[in-house]
Amino acid sequence: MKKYFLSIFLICFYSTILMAQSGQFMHQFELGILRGNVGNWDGSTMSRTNLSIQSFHGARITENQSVGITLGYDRYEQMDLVPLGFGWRGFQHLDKKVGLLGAFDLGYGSAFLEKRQREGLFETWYEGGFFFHPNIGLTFNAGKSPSYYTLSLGFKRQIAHYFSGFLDPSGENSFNSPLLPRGFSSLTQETYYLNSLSLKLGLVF
Amino acid sequence: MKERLQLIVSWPVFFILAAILFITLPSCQDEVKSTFTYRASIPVFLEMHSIREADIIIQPSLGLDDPGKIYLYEDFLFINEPQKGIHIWDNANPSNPSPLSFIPIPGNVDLAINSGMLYADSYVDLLVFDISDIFNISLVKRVEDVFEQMYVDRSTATIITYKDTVITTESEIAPWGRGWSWVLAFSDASSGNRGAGASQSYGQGGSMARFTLLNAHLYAVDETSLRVFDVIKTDEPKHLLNINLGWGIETIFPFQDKLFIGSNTGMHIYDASVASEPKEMAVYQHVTACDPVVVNEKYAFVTLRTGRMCPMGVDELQVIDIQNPYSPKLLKAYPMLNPHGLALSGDYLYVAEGKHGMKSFLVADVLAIDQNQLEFLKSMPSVDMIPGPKSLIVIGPDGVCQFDYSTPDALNPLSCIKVKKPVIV
Repeated sequence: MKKYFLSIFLICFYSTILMAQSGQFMHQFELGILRGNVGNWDGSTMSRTNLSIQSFHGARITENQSVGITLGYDRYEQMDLVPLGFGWRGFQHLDKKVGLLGAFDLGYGSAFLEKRQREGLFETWYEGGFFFHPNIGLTFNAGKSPSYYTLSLGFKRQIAHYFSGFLDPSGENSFNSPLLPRGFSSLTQETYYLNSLSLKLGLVF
Repeated sequence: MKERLQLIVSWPVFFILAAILFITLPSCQDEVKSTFTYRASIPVFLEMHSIREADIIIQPSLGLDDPGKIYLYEDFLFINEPQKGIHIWDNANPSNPSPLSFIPIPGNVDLAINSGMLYADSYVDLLVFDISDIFNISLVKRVEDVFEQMYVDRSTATIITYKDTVITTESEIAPWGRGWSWVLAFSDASSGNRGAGASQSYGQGGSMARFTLLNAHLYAVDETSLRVFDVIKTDEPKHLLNINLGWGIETIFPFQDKLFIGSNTGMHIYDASVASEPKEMAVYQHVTACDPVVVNEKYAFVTLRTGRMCPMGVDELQVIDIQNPYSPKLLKAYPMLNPHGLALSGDYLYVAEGKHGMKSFLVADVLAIDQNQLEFLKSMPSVDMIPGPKSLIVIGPDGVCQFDYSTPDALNPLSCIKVKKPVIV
């Protein structure tokens, strides 16, 4: 699945570059926060605020819309993810001082920055997962067209996994199961559905 | 002013989206689902009546799923599939073994063959098959209730057996709540590794068998005892007696008139010159470890290893002087990586080193075995081996592989019977 995703991502990236050569290219660079709530054992919650950086590289398909790829970096409490995805941007009233922005990103947040760790027979690792990220915002004419500032508010849902398992101490078991990776006697999988409010400042050029 | 109004009027979509966002904002709370997957042996209760009523119909050969014990008889290879039955392969040409048939035997873990009679356990019973015509195998005798330790209720003939399985439990926990993972994982480490010994993979003729034949008697070891059967009349085994050996009995190896029984804590030597009444000669104690044994006239070669059932052990090859079988003495111990089964052929010793491969040694000088290592085949992970007349038969993760060992210091691969589920070593 990840391979297919990466292949499509690369094809889109290549296509975008080709279109960029015809002068229809658009970049957006955004910096902001992801804010969410984490539940505690006692039912109370505490908030988290995480850094999020994202860039969009797209090609204009109409006067007011672009599609392309997004690449980012999200720093959550326990892991750093690199979201790779496909994005859509829609604009209105770009010619005015204040315009409108609609955006939607969909893709896969990769956990390749997190190293697999092993201590004795105990092994831990992270895996990424899919995300989607709709947001809306305002564009501000930077005075020198075609550059704009953007301020956007959105909702981001990111899935990620944490695995921790014990390897069989003897390695002599002959038991195979698709549910348990080879060589493990037990495995805990924690799947996180990270729901965040995103607030980002950006620059379109 | 007019311009701003125009802007607002033309922004309905923007406001709808904004409303949706603000409705969803309060739900920005992380969710976490946790699944804990572990291997466990679960008890299975069976009634022997229904097992005995079911006909055993010889089937065409099936692919190997999970090879267990292996036995070489004439030109045939008998490969046990733990708890399921026995595969028969024609091994006349070790370079090209071909499948013949499969005998479905519920609860089978070991076998031995004596003059055309195949002895195989089926839970608490001992079955005898006439295999003198390999294409017309028939069940000729069922000796009932000889391995009665599996009974939980004799009155209803209910037995208990354990099935290795993988269990997954799900829970929703607080985010980043690794605490539970640790607790659960540790509890598994202490309790989840139970009772899978029955599915381990070794063979008669190899060093890790639990059935053996000597002087017209069949000897079977379970975890605590040695059971003796008179098979003078090959198709009518008679259960003679049980000898209690203590906990942790693993393997039995016959040599001349003696039985060498490997346990977690040592090696028992029994005098079987009166085959119906084996007498203990000595118990050689060592640290707790898994330990198959092979012997020649003067020495016993014992591999000790750490394993799931003996995690506190050591990994070494011990040479024990058994010239006085009443007083075995450790001559020397050689460090190994994770030795499983072993095979002795003349002055050559072959050691299955688990996932590390297999080694061969010249053991003419038992005090310098480490200086006489001939080969270390790291590409051949192995758990046990049989030095057959035509080939060295090695059980490994690829299945059952055979080597030409006519030149002992240069093993030549002949063939491999691939398995669908390789043994993890």
